[in-house]
Formats: sequence, structure tokens, C-alpha cells
Amino acid sequence: MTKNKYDTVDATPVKSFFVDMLTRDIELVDAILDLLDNCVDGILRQKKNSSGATPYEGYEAEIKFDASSFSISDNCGGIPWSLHEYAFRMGKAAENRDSDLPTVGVYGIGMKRAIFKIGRQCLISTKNEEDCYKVEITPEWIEQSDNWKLPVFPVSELSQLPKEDGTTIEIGELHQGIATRFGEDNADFTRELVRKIQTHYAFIMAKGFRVKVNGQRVEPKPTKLIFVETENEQGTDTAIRPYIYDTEIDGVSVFLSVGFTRPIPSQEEINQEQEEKRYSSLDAGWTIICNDRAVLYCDRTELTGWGEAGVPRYHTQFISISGIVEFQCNDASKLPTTTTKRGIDASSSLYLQVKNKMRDGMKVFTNFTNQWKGKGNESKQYIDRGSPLALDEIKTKSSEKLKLNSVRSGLRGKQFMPKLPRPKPEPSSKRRISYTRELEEIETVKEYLLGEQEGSPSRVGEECFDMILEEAR
Amino acid sequence: MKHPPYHLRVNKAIDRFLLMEILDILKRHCDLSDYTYYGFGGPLLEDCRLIHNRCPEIKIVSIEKNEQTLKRQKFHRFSKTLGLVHTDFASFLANFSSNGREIFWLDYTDLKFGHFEDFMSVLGKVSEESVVKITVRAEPPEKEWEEFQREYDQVLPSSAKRTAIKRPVLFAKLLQEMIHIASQQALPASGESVFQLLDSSYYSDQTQMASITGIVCREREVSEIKHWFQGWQFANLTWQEPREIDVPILSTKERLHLEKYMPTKSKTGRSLSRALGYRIDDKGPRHIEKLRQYEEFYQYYPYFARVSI
Repeated sequence: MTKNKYDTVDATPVKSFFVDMLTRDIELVDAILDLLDNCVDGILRQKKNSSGATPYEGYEAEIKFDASSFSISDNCGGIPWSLHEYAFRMGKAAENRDSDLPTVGVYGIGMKRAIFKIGRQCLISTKNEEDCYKVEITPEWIEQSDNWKLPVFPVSELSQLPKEDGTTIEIGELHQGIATRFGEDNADFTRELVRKIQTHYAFIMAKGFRVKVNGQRVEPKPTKLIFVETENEQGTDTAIRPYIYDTEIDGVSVFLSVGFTRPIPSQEEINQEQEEKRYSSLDAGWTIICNDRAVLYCDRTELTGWGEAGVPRYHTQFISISGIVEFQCNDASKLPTTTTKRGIDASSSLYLQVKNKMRDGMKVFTNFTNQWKGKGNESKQYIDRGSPLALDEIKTKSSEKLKLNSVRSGLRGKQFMPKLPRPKPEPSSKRRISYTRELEEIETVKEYLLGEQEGSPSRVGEECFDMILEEAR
Repeated sequence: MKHPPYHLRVNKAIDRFLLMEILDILKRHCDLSDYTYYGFGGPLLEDCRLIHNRCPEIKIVSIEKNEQTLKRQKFHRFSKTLGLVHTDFASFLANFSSNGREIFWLDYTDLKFGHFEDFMSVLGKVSEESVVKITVRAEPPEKEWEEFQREYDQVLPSSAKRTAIKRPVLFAKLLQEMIHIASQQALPASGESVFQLLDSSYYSDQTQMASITGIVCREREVSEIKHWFQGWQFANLTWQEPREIDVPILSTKERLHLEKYMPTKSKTGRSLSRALGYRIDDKGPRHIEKLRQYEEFYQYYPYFARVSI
């Protein structure tokens, strides 16, 4: 009897796939944020919840790097020996998920991917209550394609025991490209990393978590929306406040708010920005937070509804509009994120439904901007009356001060639709004049008309008109 | 069309001479006839003229967008080989492709993010062994820190504090760090070429300016280039703090008197102070510092004189 040549095929994973391939899907900074995510997930496992104003108080992570090494150490609870299976295995089995905690780890790949992204040698030291051990990854282990076991070294000597429960990951034998970014390009890389932690970890840091990078404490940089406390003099509820939407769908709670971060720009500011980039960073656009971590920051593309379904494309005139969407769920797999956790899964049904509300909210403010176009200085007075509030403060306002109405179509929930001030209709006898001239020429006329006085191009235009009008009369 | 009297600014004149010194050192190792100087000559073409006098083998191009200034430049043209290009710098850069090696001086009178973008763009376009110098206004800006952050976030160091835009010295240091970051973004160390710093100064002829010069070179040639400049007393090869240029205004009679004592051994300013026998600044330490600066830069100090024609 001849042997069936179509017996079985080998589908064993190849180690180089994890070491060389998976690491290409993620940016270095994002890989480091994955390591920070693990710190926060550690806190959640220890505390079992993230409710309250400062649930992460007392916890911190410190990142250090130079041209030869990288390390991250935290006091966030360490890895209990009972969890070593999914801490160190490449990938996480479904039954091992943190089903009752709002973590962001889904695939069990973040820590390993980050390590392989950075270098070829690693020592992970961890302490959790009674458990204290070290796991080492060596270049030789990476080369051995059949060996998937990692050596574990128990730590029992008192002098070697860390004071607090936590984990330290030390990576050596850095890849060439990484070593130059940590070394010769240190200033730019540190700037990029710190900036991303400031924005993507703003919500976690505002809740008490501390992060240090090479000894420097990172301060959060949250998006804040203008909220006017008192209603206007006429006693109506017209005021600059954000649009708010609040719902829960399939166990995922969603809170959305969009509004102004600053006064709307004047026509001159818009023209300047178009001629020459004035701002190297903009607060405008949507920030999306999943379980306290920003997965998208200040997006101004169709991904977040700009230029779709009646919302205009992003343009400099909308520089003041910013929005935040927060998704919270104990089952991280229900969150609309990509595998890198730094992007949105645009095809997620949950996200597509929420995006409708994002567009609804955005239209309120693009409409306001269009109505006040050319009257930036007049609309400024309304916006200046308010103060910028972070998301948590807006949540408090929404529950204490504002009346949220039920949404009766599409995705159900509650929403607050602000009543924004409208410009007085211009008397029909008035018409707007606008024209452009060479800057040098405007300067010449300005000097002639105003001398040393400060004056914008529009003032120069108005002065010209008034002067000729007087002559003409 | 207002032009500051560039040609009468002593500290700026010293900054120009520092560029000349860099070219002198470069001349020992490279053929300067391969080089073209690109600058914003201004109405009197001061920098172009200086380079032409010192290194006539360098081709010179001045970029000017104002038509009247261009006419004035044509009037002051000192050599038929001088190229006068009538365009704005952004359009010039967009169409620029390297042909030989370059010396760029981005000599701005103000500060805006666009200047950092120009600088990064130049670094990405020039050939190796090209010299790039950028000068920007370094007066602490009259704006809120948050606004400053929004404008310069892409090149702002993570350690920058709001106090850095309040005090002149701190602001000059901050600008150097920002230029450093911009250079790393334009030419990351993982690439073929890097920007090696040569000189970094700040000075004030009424308005404080920061001026930074470096050379674009292959990563593996950095140590050799450092070696070329190591002996130069004004070299800053490792992004140390920028040097202040603040020479005193002295009369020709005073300068001729002090020449007898130059060069001094200690360069502390004290021997010149004794030689003068009076203070040139009400504040003692400032008086000594100004004379120390004079000791350091006297060879580059220009003579200005009234001439009747």
C-alpha cells in the first residue's frame, strides 16, 4: 500500500515572523506606548477597576534610553506567575483575556513586539507579591527556530528584591536604526516620544499616572473645549458650549463631545496660514480614546467624518474645532481599534454608528464658523467668555448642569445640542468689499496712512475707503 | 521696504567673519571653486561682497523677491559673475537642484516656523560638504507659551519650559536646540548624510539674533570634519551652549590705543581695562566682559568711518 503523500502540512509558526515581520507593522514610538499600555493594564489587574477621579495615583513608569540600551520600569503590580502564560507567549488565547477589566491588550503581542522592535537581548524582571523572577531573551534564543521556551530565573535574595511590585524591561543589543534614534537623533526622538505620551496618555496622566522619560516628568496635554458657564444677558440658553452625546451599546459606553478650543480665526489668519504654514501643530480634529488611551489624535480626515455626509472637508477656517470620543469596555476586543492600538478600525460597525453622531456634532460648529466668516473679531467675544474644560470636567457638567435629551432615531442615547449665538443679519444696504494686494504695497500704504501705528491689512483697506469716501462726498 | 543698516552692525559683521573663517578652513581640504554661495544679499550685497573678496573662486548668487531692492542690487553689483535671482525663496528652493557644492546663508530678520521648514528643505537638497548657515531673530517673542508651542511644536525640545521664551539668553539657547531638532528631522543619523554643527552664536545689534552654521557630510566623515575644525577657537562641534558676541562700541582712537596690548595672554578683559583707565560701561562686570569680547574678536571688528565724497 502506498503512503498517502497528502498527509499533513506543517503550520508551525516561524520565529522570525514574530521577530522580523510583526515589528515592521509598528512605529518605534507606538511600540514604546505598547509597553506603557502594559503598565496601565497591570494597575487595572491590581486594582480591579478604573473608576474615580484619580485611580492611577501613586503608579508610575520610567523610560530611559541611550545609544546602547533601553529600559522601562514601573511599580504597576508586576506579572503574577499565574499569568506568565499570556505575558510571555506570542499571542494570547481567547480564554485568557482580561474579561472583567478595561484593558487594551487583546492579542498578547505588544510587549514582545516592542522588545524585538528595539533590540535582540532583553531581561524582564518582575515582582508580584510572592512571585519574583526574571525572564531572559538572548540573541541565541532568537536564532533557534525550534526553541520556544525561555529560561526563568527565580529571585529570592533579599538584596535583589525590588521594594515595590512592578516590572523592569531592559533591552540591549539595539538594532542599528534604533541605536541612532536613541543616540545621535536623541533630541528629535525624545521630542517625538514625549509629545506622543503627552497627548495619547493625557487622560491616564490626568487620572494620576506618572511617566518619566530620561529623568524628565511628562506633563499631560489634554484637549480642552470652551464652555461658557452663564447664559447670555437676554436670559436665553444661547452660549458657546460643546455638543455632547452619551450612550452604551453592546457593553461599550461611548461619550462624545465636540466644540471650540479657541476663537475662530480671522480672515487674515486663514490667508496667512494658507500662504505659509504658521502652526507646526494643530489642536483641531478628533481625538479618540479607548479605555483611557488615545488611539487617534487630532485627526482631520474622512476617517473621523470630515468631508463626508454634509460635513465640509477640513480647512484652516475650522482650526478651532476639536472633538473627543471616549469608548470604554471591559472586553477590549469590542473596542474599534486596530491591532497596533494606535488607529481606528474604520469598518467597525460600532464606530460607523458613532461617526454619524460625530458628524452631527461637527456640523453645529462648522455651521457656526461659516455663519461668522469674516466676523472673527465679533464672534471672539462669545468664545472668550468661556473657559477650556477637559473631558472629565465636561462629563461633570453634562451630568450636573446640562439637560441631555433622548435621541429617538439611529443610534439611541442622550445628547446635548448647544444653542450657539448667531450673527445679526447684516442690513441689506451693506456689502462686503475684499481684495488682495502685494504685502509690500500694503505696508507702503499703511505707513502712509497710519505711520508707526499697528494696523492689519483689513484696517488699511477700511482707512483707504473712508479717506476716499470723505473726498468723494 | 525697510532695510536695517546691516553694513554698520559690528556684531553682525563679526558673525560674517566667522563664516569667512569657516570657508578658510574648508579651503585647506576642499576645492572652493566647486562651491556656489546662495544668500539674501540685501540692497548692498554686503555678505556676497565679503565672500567674493575673500574667496573669489566661489560663485555667488543672491536671491531677492523685491523688485526695487533687486534694482538696487544691480546698481551695487561688484562682479559680473554675481548672479541676481528675482524670486521668493520658497519658489527658488522648489526649483533648486544641487550642482556642485553649496554655501547657503538663510539670513532672516524675523522668526517663523517657515524658516525652520526652509532650513530642513535646504539640508535635504544640498550636496555633501555643503555649508548651511541660518540666522533668525532671537528676541523673546511677545506671545503666550501655548501659542508659541502651537507654532513651533514640530521642532520644540521636550524639555522646553515657558520661561525659555521670556529671557533673551534662554531663548537663544532654545533656538539652537530647535535648529538641532530640525537638522535631525531633515537628516536623521540613520541616513547617509548628517548636519555637523560648526559654529553657534547669538548677538544683538539692538535686536538679538541667533546664528548657526554647520556642514552637511556623510556620517562616516564626521570625525574627519571635526578634526578639520578642532583647532578653530570658535568651533562648537557638539551642540554646546551658543557663544555670545557682544563687542563694545569703541572709537578708532581707543582701538588704536588698545592694539598695542593685543593679543593678550589671559583674555580676561582686565589688562585692556587697565590700559584704558576708565569704564566703557557703568556696570563693572559688564565693562570687563565687553573688553574680554573685544580681545576675542578684535581681528574681526570692522572699521566704520565717515567719508565725504
